[in-house]
Amino acid sequence: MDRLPVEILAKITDSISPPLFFYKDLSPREQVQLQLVSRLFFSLSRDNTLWRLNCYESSWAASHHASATLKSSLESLPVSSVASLSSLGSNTLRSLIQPRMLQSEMTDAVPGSDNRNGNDGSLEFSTERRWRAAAEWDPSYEVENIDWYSEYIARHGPLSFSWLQQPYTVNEHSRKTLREVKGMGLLRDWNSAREDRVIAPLEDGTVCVWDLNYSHTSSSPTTKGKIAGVSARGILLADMSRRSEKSVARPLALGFLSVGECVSVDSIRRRVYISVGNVLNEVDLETLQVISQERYAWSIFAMSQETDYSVPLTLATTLSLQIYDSRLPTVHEEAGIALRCENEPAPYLLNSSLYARPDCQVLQLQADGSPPRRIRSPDPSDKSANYAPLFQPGPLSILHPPAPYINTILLAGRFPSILCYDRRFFPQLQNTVHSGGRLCGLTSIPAPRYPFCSQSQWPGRHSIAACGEYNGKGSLELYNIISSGTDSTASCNSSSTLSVMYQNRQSAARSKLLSVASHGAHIVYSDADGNIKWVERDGRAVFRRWNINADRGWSTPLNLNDQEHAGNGIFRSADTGGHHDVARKILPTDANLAGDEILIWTGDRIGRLRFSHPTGADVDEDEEDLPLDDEFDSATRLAWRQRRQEELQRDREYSGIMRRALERQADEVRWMGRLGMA
Amino acid sequence: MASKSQDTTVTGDTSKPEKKLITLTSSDNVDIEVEREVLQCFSLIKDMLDDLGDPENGDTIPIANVSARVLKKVIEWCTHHRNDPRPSADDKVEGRDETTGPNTDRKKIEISEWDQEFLKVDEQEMLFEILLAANYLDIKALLDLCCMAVANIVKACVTPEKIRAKFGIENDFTPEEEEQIRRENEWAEQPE
Repeated sequence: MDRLPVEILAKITDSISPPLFFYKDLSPREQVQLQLVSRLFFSLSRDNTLWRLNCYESSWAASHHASATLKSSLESLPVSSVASLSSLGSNTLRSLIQPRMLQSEMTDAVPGSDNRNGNDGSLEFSTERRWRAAAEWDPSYEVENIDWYSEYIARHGPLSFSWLQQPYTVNEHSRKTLREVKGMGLLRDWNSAREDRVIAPLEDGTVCVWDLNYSHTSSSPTTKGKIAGVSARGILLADMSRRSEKSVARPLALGFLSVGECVSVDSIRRRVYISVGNVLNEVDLETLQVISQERYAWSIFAMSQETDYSVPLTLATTLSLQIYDSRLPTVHEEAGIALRCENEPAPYLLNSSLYARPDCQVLQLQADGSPPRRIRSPDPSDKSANYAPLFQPGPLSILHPPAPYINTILLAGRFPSILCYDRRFFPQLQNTVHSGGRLCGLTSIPAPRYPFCSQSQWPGRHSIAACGEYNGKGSLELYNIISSGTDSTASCNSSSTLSVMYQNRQSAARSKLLSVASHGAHIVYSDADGNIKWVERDGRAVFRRWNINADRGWSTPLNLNDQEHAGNGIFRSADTGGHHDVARKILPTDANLAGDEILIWTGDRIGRLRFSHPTGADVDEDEEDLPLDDEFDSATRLAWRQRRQEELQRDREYSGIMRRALERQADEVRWMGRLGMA
Repeated sequence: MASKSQDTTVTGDTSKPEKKLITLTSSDNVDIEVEREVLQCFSLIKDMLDDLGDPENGDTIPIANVSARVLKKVIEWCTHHRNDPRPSADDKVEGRDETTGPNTDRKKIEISEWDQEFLKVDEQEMLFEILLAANYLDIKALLDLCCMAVANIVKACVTPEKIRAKFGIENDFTPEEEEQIRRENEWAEQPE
């Protein structure tokens, strides 16, 4: 077989894909099997355009296209009184209900089955037409590289969910007390080891680091998702500025806001910025120590996230927008500025045209010892220029759009417009785009590409996705971002403008959208009902959904809080099943294939949503209450676990019965109320 | 043409008299007479005849890449299918036609009974020969049919190992590569 020409082999590979796209049971899994046969077959059946075709054929667009074609053929269908439902062709209600129904059966039901050939012909597309349609459908932008195999897995692969290991403290009775996670950031590692880390502050002001490696060594799967390091307790709440005056660090009065964005990671410098109330902490991830602290007049609600160029952090407080340049010395640090040195930059930075090496000219101190001057004007030492007042309170999201829009800063929040600033004219508001909704998340589509590449080839166009609520319903809004410069090569130096592209306020969600992210060639967002939805880049067609409460299943145990909530079931909607988690923030890891996953922060925990079958390690994570005796041998541990499983099972049954009883009672009350009895 | 061996005309089930016959010469120098009408299937020959006109008496058309054994099979197929509607550029693939029986196995692509009989060739090698001939002679419908037949064989093999064994393909992956691909393809495995 391997002596056949490649084009014929490709044809065979294509024959394995369903010739009729709605026969879902003819899956492209055979193509997956073929990949393992030999290198030749691997290259054929991993072909990017082949998987784009597979993505297309299972998409809404393909079935829409088919029904449009079908409609034209239906017009020629003889209208007879005996024409049954089945005569309407295969892509009708009946085939949706009974997709496995035989085609012969359908055609037999048609009296005088002359029209059969017409139907068949319109439903089957020749190879060329299918490929052409897939190319037309292709939602990716120019120059953007989409791995369609990953995309297919993200669209059709299985989903499994697991929590990251929950940090805990041990009290005097050697019982574990879980600590809440108050944010989420991802440290990306572009070395070959791909040792990504999840960074988050805990409720007691500690910084916690989880392992999220992509290496394939035998030990790596077991450590993935486990805690890799914890800082000294409470470092984020300690007041550094007073440390010199008083011997004891006094805790700051303010706690975490739990609104907006409080973590921003700088993967290159391996630093993380964490805001607590009105204080911004800069934490070094090598030593897990706070290296600088900055106080603001108001609480910090939003921080810019890292993107594919290096700029100072932008942060928004209740009533102001500020630029925080970590390279500038803080007041108490100024004396030691001469001693400060930077790490040798990683080698992959050398190629980047946008990211300036820390020791290059623009970052060095000027001759008179004043701070460096770069990328931002006016002079950073001019303190007043760091500050732009907001006229309405409640900023919730800042976006630095990816290159080439390096001068743009976008701000959204509890006001009806998106504010656009230009870094070069900073305190000045450039323009606003009216949305009408209350937005709480901004993201760029496509997502910034990592690692930084040397060629200045950016996708031909970008759009900005915003999420929030409009009149109580979820709103997913798409905006075009356009460089106002006419010359595309000089677009780095031009400012950009936003314009409304599409606002989905009908079908996005029935409740507020909490977070939005660009994932592969589609958009993923979360809503206040705990749903996570995957939608095409047009913002309309939802092709996948998953609910953190309903679809997580019972494989993971309930924690006690949830059980308490389950008790007052009358006022809860039935479908949440006692859980009331929502995905406050979603963060795709931007890795492809097996590493592709979505991190979910629920407000107190971080979970991983992966596109694979659940592994055994995910299922039992109920060691939360296991007494911390190291002498516990495996048999005792196992027995304990079994006992706990049984207990949980009984609890669930009990709460289920109670819930049904209460619901029935509530129904009765409502019904009687209508009769004027209550 | 030294060792020409005259062969009988291959005809279909209905023999119509006074059909114009054209002689083809296979790669192993066997002359085969075919009805002009049947040759309409062979896009390669058809285009040539349309361009150059029918050959003079005694002239043969050499088919350099196809042996007599294979050519006869191809002509047999074309003779059977000569009355099929002509496929247009956007038409459906051949092989899914009138005689579709109660086929409960959707995993298999349907192939008509006659075609199934036709494709019951002794060895796999023959199927590939026909496939190559159909490709060379540009017979789209037969090419599609053969591809489907091969695809069905692939489908019947559940694992990559079986596919390799069935077609005698050498595994040229290193164990690390194989492990890597296996891990990447885990999503497609059926859950236990």
